Amino acid sequence: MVTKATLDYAYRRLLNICDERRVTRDPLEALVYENSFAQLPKQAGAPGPLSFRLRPDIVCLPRTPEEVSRVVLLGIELSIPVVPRGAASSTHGGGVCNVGGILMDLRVLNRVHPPDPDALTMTVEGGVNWKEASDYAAYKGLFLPVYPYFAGSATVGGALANGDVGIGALKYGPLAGRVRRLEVVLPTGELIWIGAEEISLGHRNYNVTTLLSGSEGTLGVITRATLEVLPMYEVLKPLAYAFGEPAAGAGALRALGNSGLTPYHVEFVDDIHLAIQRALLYQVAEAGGMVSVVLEGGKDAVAAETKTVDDLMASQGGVKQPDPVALEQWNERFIRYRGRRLSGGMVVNEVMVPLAKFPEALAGARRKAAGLKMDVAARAYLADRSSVVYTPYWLTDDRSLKSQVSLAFIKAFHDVVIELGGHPNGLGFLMAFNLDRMHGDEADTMRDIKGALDPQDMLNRGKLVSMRGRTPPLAPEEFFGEMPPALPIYMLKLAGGVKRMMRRDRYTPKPGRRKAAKGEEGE
Amino acid sequence: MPRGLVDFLQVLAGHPTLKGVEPGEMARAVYMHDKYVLPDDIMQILGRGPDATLKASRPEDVSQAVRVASGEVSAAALGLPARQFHYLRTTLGMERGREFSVDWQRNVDPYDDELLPMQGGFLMDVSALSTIEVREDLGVVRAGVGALWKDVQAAATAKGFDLDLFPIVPMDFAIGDLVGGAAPFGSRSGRLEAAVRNIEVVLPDGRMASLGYDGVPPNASGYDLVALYLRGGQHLALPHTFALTLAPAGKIRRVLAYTYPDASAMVGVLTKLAKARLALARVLIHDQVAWAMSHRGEALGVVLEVAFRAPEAVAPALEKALDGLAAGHTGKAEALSPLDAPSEFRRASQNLRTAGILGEVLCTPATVAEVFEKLLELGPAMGIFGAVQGAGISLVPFSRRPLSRRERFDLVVKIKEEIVGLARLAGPQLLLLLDGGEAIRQGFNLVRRIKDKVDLPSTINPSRALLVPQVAPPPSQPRG
Repeated sequence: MVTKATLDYAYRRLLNICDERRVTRDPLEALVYENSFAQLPKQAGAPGPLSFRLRPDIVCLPRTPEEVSRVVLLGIELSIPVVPRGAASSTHGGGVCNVGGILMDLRVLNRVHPPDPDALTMTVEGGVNWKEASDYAAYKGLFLPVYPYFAGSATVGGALANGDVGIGALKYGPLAGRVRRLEVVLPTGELIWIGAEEISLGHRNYNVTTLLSGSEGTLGVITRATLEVLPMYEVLKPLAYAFGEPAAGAGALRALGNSGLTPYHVEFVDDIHLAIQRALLYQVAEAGGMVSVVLEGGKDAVAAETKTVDDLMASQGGVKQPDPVALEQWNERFIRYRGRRLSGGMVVNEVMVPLAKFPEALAGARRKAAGLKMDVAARAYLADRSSVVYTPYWLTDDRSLKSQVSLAFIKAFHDVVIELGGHPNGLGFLMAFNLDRMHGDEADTMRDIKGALDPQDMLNRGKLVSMRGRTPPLAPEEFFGEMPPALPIYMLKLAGGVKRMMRRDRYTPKPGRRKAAKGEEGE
Repeated sequence: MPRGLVDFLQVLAGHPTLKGVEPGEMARAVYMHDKYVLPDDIMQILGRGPDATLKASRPEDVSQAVRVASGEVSAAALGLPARQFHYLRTTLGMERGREFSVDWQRNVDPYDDELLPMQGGFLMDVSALSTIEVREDLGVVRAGVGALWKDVQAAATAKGFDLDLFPIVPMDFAIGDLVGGAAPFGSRSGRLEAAVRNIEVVLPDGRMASLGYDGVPPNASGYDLVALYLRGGQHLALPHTFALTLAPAGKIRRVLAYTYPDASAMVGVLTKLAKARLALARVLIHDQVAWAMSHRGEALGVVLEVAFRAPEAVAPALEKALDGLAAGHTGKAEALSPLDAPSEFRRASQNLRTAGILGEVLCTPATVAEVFEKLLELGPAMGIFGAVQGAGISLVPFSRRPLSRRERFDLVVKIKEEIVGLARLAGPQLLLLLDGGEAIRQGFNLVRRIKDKVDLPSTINPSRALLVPQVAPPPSQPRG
């Protein structure tokens, strides 16, 4: 237990590390940091046993990697847990405290170094926003080929640490594979570079940059990354095809995966998502599902691929949509939360499923949602030729009990996904109970790795490899801090029971007719 | 007795009779087992080998051997015939609690650069772990660690797929040889872990574990152990089965060979290819010697072999774009690649059986011509295989005639000196030991810390745990 005197001392030391404008322990300012994009039940932060200390004791905003290192060293010295936070856009509570401590807001670590057009690299700091990085590269005539699904909000360090797959991964590989080297502050306070700048080491020479991917800030804080960029493309062409039923659209994804084509990005949305979009946008088809295919490259190659994709989608029952519709769908990639305007709240989850099982996952999710009297929209994109990142979401009102018990869908949905050979994406502390279910004995190896690199459990304590919450006053943390995985599972089951007894959600506009929209060809 | 290479190098550094010997000289003496430089006790260490070779016929045998080696179960659990069991008990003294280690044998060890022989323990012959199962529904092929690449590729081709993974040099590598960069495998994207979905391993305590998923990549589901175990070498576990990703073979499959008078004529093409967005299956580079040893017929210069698969409608546009990029060639022809034809692969592999592979040199399109020339100047028997991987280029220099250890050491040192500032060395232990850049040290230190946590007694492959000189300072200690 960290005493008030220790926190006072830590605060004074932090004033010396960062300047006074970048350190605060004001409860009102700290309140902001209790929240993230993840939907947390309000009860989770309320005082009492088996809850979390979401409010940080101290918030600081380090501006250089050296400051980050010094903050971590201070945490070690005073045994205060340290939580790195990017834009807090993760869906599983990655960027908020669970046991209090020092929270580092890394968004002021946001310098972008000029890209190197010869080496085709760009070095950015961990707090840089992906869209800004992408825009800056474009301004310099270069193309950042892979960026996270939530690029509009996510930071470079946050998305890399969360192991995001990313838009463009289908053609250029996942985000982590586009990283030449990383500057990392380890949980021991060491500031190191791994990887090499001038050449991609790949899997050779102990290049363990990928170890940080998916570590969610438990093994280190990414303070700088050298990313691979490309010369700007000649043509980028978004295409869209409407389908009568969601299942037909899901089947079309499989056809694309097996076609031998390599589009830049392929995304599927279902009728519920389209209904939400229609309430907010102009050019949205009334259909059971829509598949967007984005092609990129040379003019001739894109023209040839367009024809092949058109034929393939037609053979699957897809109706080609006019170019403005396709363009609007593509432009929506930076605005993932638009639906919030309808209800005031939104819960997003993300999983990965084998492409062959995607139709089953989609059907399973809709079945579970129907059981819980919910309208759950589906967005999904191809991560590679044989797997899909599936992002279901639903609208809620954050203030209502109904919103909180609707989280029961996550547990039910994850059961379906794990059964189908997939896995939930992201663990944080809200989903950490999934680790053993997903990895079995390997979860222990992950705990060993955490123990090896963070022997004092300083960084993101009680997340990913364990689940830690509030310790009762005067109770030893080692006995009472750890939360058994069965507890959240039980709570979510209980929430499911309550949700079933409630009335159906009314936030989502009624989906339109389940038939393909009129397209260029008239039908 | 040193428990591993780390210990061994420390023994060397602290040996009274070796004080004052330069690190380069020391490395040479160790590599060549030079009895005129090294004292008797060091020579004894270098003269050692495994106590016993065990043939694994199923993955459980590897697990059992690890359990026996770690002292968890009795040697009786190995189920050996009475005579062999007696040998283990008496000659090896297993009953007296002696610590053992387990290593596994590669099918081809191309670099022949072992610095420290195995100091006793079990050497596992895993060649019988060669099952191959194509899972069309998940787009992967599951292959045992001892399965040969060419057999796995043949099984995939029979089902209408190609492997994403290919050997840069057409040698008879087993799938297990790719762990830790122990053999020059490549992929068009340059990300080996994208071509490996899942690895089943035996952990240092003998437990069997499955890392990753068969059907999906492991992104965002905890630490990426597949990438860690591939990149961190073989220090953390013994693999027994791999799930490798498959690519649809496509209706049209073409292999085109573009010939250039020399490497400098190819620079522009490689630069464009590295930046191009063409969906190619692989781009290989051969000098004349490499082409002659791996293909039928002579080449009149440096050959760029480009393979692609595509739907019918896309293939002509792809070839047109490719021809546009490949401008400046002196000849273009359809090629029969050994990677696609089992009989040709066998022939090439036979030709290369005695060749001395010197390592993998990583460079960029901008430096490739200079590096190419420097490597060819190393000797008249030199040849080069290469591959474009992502935005980088891997070159694998080799000598077409067998090399003595002395010649190999001298050539490796020469490569290291010649390519400074132009390229990076990768692959063999010896190159790493001589190169030892800062980033390698940092990466190795992280792996080392994990190794110490998961396998403190160094049961798994201790002799391969490399210490790069000038290790980073120890972690900062808290003040007060």
